[in-house]
Amino acid sequence: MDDLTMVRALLDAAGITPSETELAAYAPEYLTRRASVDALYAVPQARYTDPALRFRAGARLEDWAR
Amino acid sequence: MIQTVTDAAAALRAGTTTSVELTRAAIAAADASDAEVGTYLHRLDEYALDRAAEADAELARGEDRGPLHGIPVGVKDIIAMAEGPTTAQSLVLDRAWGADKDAPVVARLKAAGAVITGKTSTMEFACGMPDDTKPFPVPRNPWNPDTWPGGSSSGTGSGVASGMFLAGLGTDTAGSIRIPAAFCGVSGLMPTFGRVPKSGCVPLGYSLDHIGPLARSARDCAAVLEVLAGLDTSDPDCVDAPFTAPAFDGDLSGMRIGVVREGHFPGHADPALAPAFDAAIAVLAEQGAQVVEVTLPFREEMITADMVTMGCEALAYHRNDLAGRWGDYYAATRAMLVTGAMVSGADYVQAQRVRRVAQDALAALFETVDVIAAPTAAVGAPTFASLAAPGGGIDVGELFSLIFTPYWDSVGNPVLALPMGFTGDGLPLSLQLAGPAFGEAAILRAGDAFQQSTDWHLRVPQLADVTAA
Repeated sequence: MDDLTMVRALLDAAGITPSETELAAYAPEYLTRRASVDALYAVPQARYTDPALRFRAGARLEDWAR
Repeated sequence: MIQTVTDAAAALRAGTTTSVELTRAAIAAADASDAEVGTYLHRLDEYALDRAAEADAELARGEDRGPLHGIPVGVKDIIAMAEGPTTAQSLVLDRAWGADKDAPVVARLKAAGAVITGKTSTMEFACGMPDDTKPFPVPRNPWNPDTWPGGSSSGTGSGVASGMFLAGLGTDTAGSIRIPAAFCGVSGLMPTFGRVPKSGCVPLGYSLDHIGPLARSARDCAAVLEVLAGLDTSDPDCVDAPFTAPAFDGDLSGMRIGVVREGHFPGHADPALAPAFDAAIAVLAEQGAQVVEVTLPFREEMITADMVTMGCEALAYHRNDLAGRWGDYYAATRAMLVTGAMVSGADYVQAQRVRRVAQDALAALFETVDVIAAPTAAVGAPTFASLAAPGGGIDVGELFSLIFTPYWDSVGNPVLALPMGFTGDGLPLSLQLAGPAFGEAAILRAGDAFQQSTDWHLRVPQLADVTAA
């Protein structure tokens, strides 16, 4: 699948339908971006590491307005 | 001309100026320059003068709220303020979201007696470069209006540089405090993630956003941080870490400064960058610091992690509006937001795993040094033409080959950006001083020591010079 088709499919799945001009501009970046993201999976120290994400049971929403 | 919060606070208490005089000077600066540089989205001149009169009356009665009492301050327009409006420089943001409400940081500024002069311009939703297709000003650099002032806290940076206020609030997700600080020739502090509550601020990256000050000096940034920092439970990421400014004695004896050069001097860097950086490091050494060369761990990975995290977290916020109001967004905003759709949920989680690894490695590095120094950017402010990408927006790849900020957002450490010289074209160059988590005192001490020996932070663009009081 070429970059343009891949990007079109990804954006379509997200409900995003850019113009053909914008889509053509987004597509060339996809491969470069994909390569750098794939490199994250090549970090050996991350193999058994917990992500920097935390979910707290019982958390409540609090209004920020002052 | 009073240029700093510190000097203005002293002058107020010495009786050599008043808050009304400071505010009138700020308003005059805006009258002279705002139309050209697009600092403000919404000016609050009458409100500010009323608050200034109140501040003068309170100070005369001996009711002293601290160093920000009576000081003109700008607020980035993604942060809610009751006197609003809050637009995020966008047609899309629901005006009701921030209507009649103060974000916790705004409430703290008001309680400290700050005189808020207006809502400052920004990149749309803190991520999209404005153009002339929407009814908002295009922020421009007061050093050269054909160049970008940096963003996304563009108006806060240009406003401090132009004297429209003495300090202001910005936010930083990939560099948005430090980039305008660098390109506008002022100081900017990205505090440790979680030290300042970010509730009441339109989010760009929930795990990346930092609210912090821009001002002339490190000492001014410290004064603002004292007001902003501290627990607010409405922000689940906020921690109980209030801040007290350190003693600024200018003595860096015993401070170990790690100097980063790898990846920060690309072939297309400005020729003035290396000499300016070397001179800045020499100043720090003259103040007693021990200097050693270091390498940032996982540098490329943290830049990628910042982009992946920001893209995903931002797209979650904007997905419905992108689908229904595509044309109401700037082209550059759309180009940034769609990147969140080009990676998977697993990619996002992997980025968070590598962030944890990098944090640990960086903490180990900070066991060997107290502060890390590097350039903020490889160049002075770029022209708008040089940033343009085909299809609209900005060439993000080109931009972040020149700017060295996103690494620090990924790890959450505090970073201070300071002016350190000029390019041959007269555009400011900037130094970053990074500290360990919650290590703001060290970087502010180092920054202040640097500024006690240099005057880069006091230089004023010619555009603003004609308004000097």
